Amino acid sequence: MGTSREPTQYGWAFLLPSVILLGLVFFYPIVVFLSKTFLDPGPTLKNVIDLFRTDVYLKVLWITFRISFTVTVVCVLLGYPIAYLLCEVSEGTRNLLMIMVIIPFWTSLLVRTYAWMVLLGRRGVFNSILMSLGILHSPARLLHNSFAVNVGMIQMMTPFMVLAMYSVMKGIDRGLPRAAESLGANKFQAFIRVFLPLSLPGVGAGSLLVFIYSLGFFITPALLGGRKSIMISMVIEQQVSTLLRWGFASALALLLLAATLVFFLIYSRFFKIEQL
Amino acid sequence: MKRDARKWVVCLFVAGVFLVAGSAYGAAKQIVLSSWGGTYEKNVIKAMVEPFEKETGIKVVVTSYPNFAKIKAMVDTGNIEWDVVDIEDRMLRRGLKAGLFEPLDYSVIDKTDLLPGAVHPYAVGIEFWAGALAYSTEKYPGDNHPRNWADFWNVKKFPGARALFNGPYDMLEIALLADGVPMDKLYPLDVDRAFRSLDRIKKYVTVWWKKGAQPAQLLTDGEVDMTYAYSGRIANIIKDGAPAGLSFDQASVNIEWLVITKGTKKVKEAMKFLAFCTRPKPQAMFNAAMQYGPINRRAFDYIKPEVAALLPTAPQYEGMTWIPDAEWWADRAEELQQRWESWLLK
Repeated sequence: MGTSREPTQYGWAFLLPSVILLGLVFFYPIVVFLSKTFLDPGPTLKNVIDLFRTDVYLKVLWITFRISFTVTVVCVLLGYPIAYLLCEVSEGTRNLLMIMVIIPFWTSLLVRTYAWMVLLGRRGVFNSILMSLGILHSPARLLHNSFAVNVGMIQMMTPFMVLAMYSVMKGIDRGLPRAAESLGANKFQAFIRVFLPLSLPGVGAGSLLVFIYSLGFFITPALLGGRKSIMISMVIEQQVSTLLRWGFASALALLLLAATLVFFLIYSRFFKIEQL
Repeated sequence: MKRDARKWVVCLFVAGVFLVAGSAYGAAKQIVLSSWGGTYEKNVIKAMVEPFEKETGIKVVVTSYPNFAKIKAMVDTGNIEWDVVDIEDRMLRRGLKAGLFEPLDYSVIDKTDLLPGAVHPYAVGIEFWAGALAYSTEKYPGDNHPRNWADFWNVKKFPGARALFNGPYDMLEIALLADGVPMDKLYPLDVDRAFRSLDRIKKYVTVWWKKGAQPAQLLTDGEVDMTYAYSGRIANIIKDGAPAGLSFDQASVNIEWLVITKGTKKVKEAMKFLAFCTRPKPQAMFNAAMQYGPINRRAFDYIKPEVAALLPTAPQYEGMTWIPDAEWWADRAEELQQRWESWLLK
């Protein structure tokens, strides 16, 4: 206590290097690219108009949001018990479980996507097992559809969800549910009425992270998806690298950004962002 | 303090080493070629790059995946990373409009024996590749296999999982061929009829692939039983013993080009490289290995007749194949791409 000081007047200067770096390598290129919506080729609104001239891009945006939403919900359902378990077990078990969460998290997304191709293929592991057990007579179509995209993305995103929820849950005072129990609540009631509400900021943070991250997914839907699981990033890539329509690609990116911000604003009304 | 000084000396020394190494690196004559990776790139290196380096002393650094956006960015910013790029015909047409390439000097490149289709003021051919029908010989053993696009569309006679390219190019054409349009009456394409024909096959197509390496993988993994594919990729897995077959009946024959990026400081060296690649011997070596069609007539002098028989430009396939009209596509690419995407989502 004795050595604590008032914050100095120039404390913000410590932020300067990161702000400059972020401005230079993040904000500047984004502004330049997004400005192409209205400036490529020449000052124009054509790119924006093109977006709404057919319903195809809104449809793709809808698919993107739908997949991201499904992924987020399943990640919450899968991640919550895992995060809860991580808080409850002994230290040794926790380390072991933590490793099992973190190793996939560290493994390249591309590698995991290919792994799913090996597992879900027509001659893949699942089909072989099901067929040799006599449950299936001809291979099921597990790959190249929205199911595969969802499965793949859920596996990619679950660690994010678990880590976000765990960081909040481990900060919850364990005395509180115990106090509830001492006052007559059973274990279930103590969980539902004390622990769960306290852990909600973690659920909120995890969901936001997973949802927004999922919106930009590219490799997994491109490799595991079928014709009806096109995500907006795939269309952007197509416009940039094959069709050379950077202005339109930028308009698509702007659409995604705007939709994300709208979502974020609605979301922040339900979850107080400062709690996250 | 002393330790700090030592640190500085080490830093300066390291920086110095990099500077010296960097300038020595820059002094050596060197060009960068952007190619397509995999076996393709390996064979470009063996047939063209290495003999060229030996003959001229000019080093060629090969890097993967020509990307149009990247070329445009290089030309726009004047920061040329790739001196020579290997591109498809469609990309050439679009790139010409954007003014991305250097004009070629045909006093350096000898065009006497080059096929006329492979000579262009801003590009010279490297090979002819075919968009052909590939099938699994496990699923269709013996002689009863799909041969042309009408067979591909015939799901009763040839049941099985199918794959097509995810994009309108060639797909509209083969849909029309499957619908009975003769090869010489394809252009201008009857787009509505093509989409109606595609409607009929849509249900049976399990994979819409994006990259040229995918169909070969799909056949090898048994993921699909027949697919539209680039002939060389399939020929290569057949060579490696994969259970696949290839039919050139109604295949599209496309030219692949080499171009020089506009604004490069290595125009002279790049031009020499292009001249070398189009000579009969490198052409023969590369195309025989890849099973593509050479662009130099005299290349066939160096190719064994049994190998020549597998090349899409071999005499026996004359009249069996068609050439996509890149000019027709150039103005419609965006519109048809958009229509393709909406169609696919329906």
